[in-house]
Amino acid sequence: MSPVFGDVNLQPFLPELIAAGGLLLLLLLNLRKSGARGAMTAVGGVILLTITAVVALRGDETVGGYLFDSVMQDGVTVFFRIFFCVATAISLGMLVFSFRTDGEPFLLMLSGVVGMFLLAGANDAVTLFVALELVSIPSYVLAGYKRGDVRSAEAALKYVLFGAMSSGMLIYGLSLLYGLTGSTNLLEMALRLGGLTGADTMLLVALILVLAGIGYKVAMVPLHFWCPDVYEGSPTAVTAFFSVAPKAAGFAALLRLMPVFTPLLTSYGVNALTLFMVASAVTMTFGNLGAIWQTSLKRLLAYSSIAHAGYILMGFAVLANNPPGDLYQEAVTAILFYLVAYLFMNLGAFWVVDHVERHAGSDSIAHFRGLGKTSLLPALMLSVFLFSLTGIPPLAGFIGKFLLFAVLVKGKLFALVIIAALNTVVSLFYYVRVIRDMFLSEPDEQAASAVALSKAKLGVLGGALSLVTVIPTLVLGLWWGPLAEWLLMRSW
Amino acid sequence: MGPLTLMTFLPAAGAAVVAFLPRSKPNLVRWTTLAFTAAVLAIGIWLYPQFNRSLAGINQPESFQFVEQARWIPAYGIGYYVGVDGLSFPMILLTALLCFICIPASWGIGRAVKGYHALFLLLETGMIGTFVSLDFFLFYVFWELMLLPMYFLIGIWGGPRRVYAAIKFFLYTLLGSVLMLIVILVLYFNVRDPVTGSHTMNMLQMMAQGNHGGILTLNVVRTLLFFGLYIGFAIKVPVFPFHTWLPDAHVEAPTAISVILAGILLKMGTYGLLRVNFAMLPDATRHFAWFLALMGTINILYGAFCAMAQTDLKKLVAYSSISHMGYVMLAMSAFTPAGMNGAVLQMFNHGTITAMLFLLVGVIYDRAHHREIAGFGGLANVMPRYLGVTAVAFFASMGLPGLSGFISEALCFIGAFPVWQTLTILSLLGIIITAGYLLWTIQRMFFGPVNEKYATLPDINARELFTLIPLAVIVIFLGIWPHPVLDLMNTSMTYLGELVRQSGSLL
Repeated sequence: MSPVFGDVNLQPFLPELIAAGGLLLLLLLNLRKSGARGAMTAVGGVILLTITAVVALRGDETVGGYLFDSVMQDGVTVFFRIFFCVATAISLGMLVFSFRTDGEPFLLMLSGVVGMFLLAGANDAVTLFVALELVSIPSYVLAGYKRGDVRSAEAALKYVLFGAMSSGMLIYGLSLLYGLTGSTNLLEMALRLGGLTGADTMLLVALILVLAGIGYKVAMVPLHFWCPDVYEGSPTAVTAFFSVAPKAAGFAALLRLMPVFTPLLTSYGVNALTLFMVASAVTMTFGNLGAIWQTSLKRLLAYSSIAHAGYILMGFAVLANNPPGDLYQEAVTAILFYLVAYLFMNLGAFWVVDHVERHAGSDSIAHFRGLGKTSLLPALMLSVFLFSLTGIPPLAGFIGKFLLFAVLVKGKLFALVIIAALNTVVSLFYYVRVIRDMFLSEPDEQAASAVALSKAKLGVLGGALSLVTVIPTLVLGLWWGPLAEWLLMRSW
Repeated sequence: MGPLTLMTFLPAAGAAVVAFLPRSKPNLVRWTTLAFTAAVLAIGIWLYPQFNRSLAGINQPESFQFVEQARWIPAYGIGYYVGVDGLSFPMILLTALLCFICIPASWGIGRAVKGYHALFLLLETGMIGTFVSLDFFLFYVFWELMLLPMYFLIGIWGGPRRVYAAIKFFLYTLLGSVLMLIVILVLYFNVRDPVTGSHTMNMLQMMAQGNHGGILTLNVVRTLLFFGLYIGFAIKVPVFPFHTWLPDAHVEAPTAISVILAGILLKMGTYGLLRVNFAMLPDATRHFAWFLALMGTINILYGAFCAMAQTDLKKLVAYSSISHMGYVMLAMSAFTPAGMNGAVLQMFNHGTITAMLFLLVGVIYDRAHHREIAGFGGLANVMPRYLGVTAVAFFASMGLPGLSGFISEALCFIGAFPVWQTLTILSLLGIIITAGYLLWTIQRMFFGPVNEKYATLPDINARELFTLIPLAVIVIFLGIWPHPVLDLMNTSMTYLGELVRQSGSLL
């Protein structure tokens, strides 16, 4: 069975087709009037994502460019497809608690998946841009889905405005690149930029604009301003989704764009390495320093996610400084591994926040005081996730950091790795502050929130969500060899 | 499964068991924990006669004992590799002993008993794991694993300023650890296993100087690595000026945790220096020996003077620990057989003596609910048996002949003097100051007029004596006949000293 369209091979496109077709089917099913449309759509969505992931996993990884070379199918594409399926499936599960009767938020979340798939494979500036918009537009609606909530509306509006601006920057940057090279194909572009002379400044401006456009998606400083407000205002399950899936999609696109960045070498010494080193150092430092002062846990996690974007950008600094080869491949592996660890620990952390927020009425850190007394299990889980985010062994986050630090040391970027190490210490301070409040402070026994929390049950779905986030966070901390090798095989 | 794996993971298994015991039966939790720590100690005692005293270990893979190796993450050259030599074996004995003694000493903990004991057992896994690891990745995992339980044990069951003390401890040690992680990575990428040709986390391969390549052959890199590791370990020791977390952590920690902190965690620092700095970078160690000796001397004097100025008994003991760890630093920087043996023997003896001191502070605190030295007086009449045990511990701490502290301190000074005359003479002042503050403390607490408030304090009870007597017996016995412990380490430490002295020059 090989769906062939003229001489266009659609076989590698099968996961996208299934995801899109399934989405349409779910949309039709949603026309039925039913009390539990939300839960049903979530179940349908998870089944759809499972099928898609299985098909993606079985996909041929040696196809290379297809659809007129506008999309690449290789190991990294396969990895990201599975990654997005898992992230979206867990987010769909979390969404059920807030939207039991509404089908639409589930469909919106699912509709971003195809865009993310395409972004991970984009090999053409136009495809990349369209895919990015495909991810963004449902996100804008999702951010504002808490109807009647002012903060949710503000979040959506901020997201749209910042999104529009950064889309503009991205398309401007890409058009400059097209002007310089005469091609929209990314690999072709990279090839022609290599032989280009005398357009340093133009190229620098173009690349800064492109980086800014992607940087907005991954919440890179100084394009992070939307992030805390959007994360705080959006429904928590949506925030969890935002913090992982579109961010990873941004990094996927950046991976595809790296060959375009590396030829940059201006006569005044600015090159791709300086660009990424500065971006990384500033992003992680700013994110960590910003997180210290937060009183809302969602905002704290927003700043922490900025910091984590900074850590991941370190990997890109290695990519920018090295030609494709062993080290390049290891750096890609480190980035991908970090994303996997981040997927589980960050979704897990947001899941506990969501649980507490729904029962205590707010995500203020004050409501986490004495959580170890009122509900031990969520408190223990949140501690695991926060320690993992800090990067303390034997948890997944540590391995992510270990692999990233390793490629930096191997690439001899010692200054950056020391900045990252110091940032780790700073981050411990605010993560542990939450843990301190949970275990070292007494709960306010009289408060309604504490009473509600002590009675709160996780339920079957809650238990399932806890398991799918906690177990990988623990297992990937101790037995991470197989995943690392699997990724190394698929990285270029 | 070999004995070392069993010793390492038995406590972790115990933690899992404790977690599932009913909350309503605190005594069951205590007895279960005691059983697990006793089992670990029993394995240690069982290994004691089997340990071959003539094998050096250090950087010779074939002369490590009770070795266990298993594949873990072969693609990255990381393996499960444990074993002991004369440096680590006394340390795991000390760990097993103190952990066992700490459980009866924690009998008074009434709040969240399950959590306390589960975390304590987890801590024991981390400590023994650190001492037996011969793979740097494994070492680092255990090293960090100690931080989490320690944070909670101080933070939940500690004194009034426990939250501050706990986070300060955590931040300081994490800073040291991340620096160490970077150094580990630099070593990793510049050391190749000669057989497989790939990078390895095997500590013994990293010690083989012939395997060093890449930037590791540059002196400036070796210097930076030496100091990166030094900071990581110095924070744990703690060496001036990284010591400021220690008085806070000690004062706020519950008694048993202070015992573990001073008795074992501080030894991690000097153990790390010996195991990693000395054996992996012997040339840099030899080059910067003066620095280690100087920092040791500063520690001795600074710690002793600070101890003298304390009004809080527990803080006094905490500062005395800083001072006594200085002896270890000074002695090991001489590389002489006497110095190297003295250093490790002092680590062992300080572990037992300081454990006694903290237990004794706990005894009086449980009765009077404060630790102000000036608040007591004339306790000799009220608590004569308490005075007896205290005298043993204090005299051992000040190095009175016949008690274990004397042997190790004498060895330290004998070993250090031929190499560092001036510093050793300066350090000898530390002994006088130590005698000064300890005798002064005994005088203020036990003699003079009885404070009426405390005229009816009950004397030390059987449970407390049960924790103190074994330590006192060890202190007295090793004071008269140190060979049972000294023989364990002699071959290894003499070899390590020789290794450093024979190493090439850095410049």
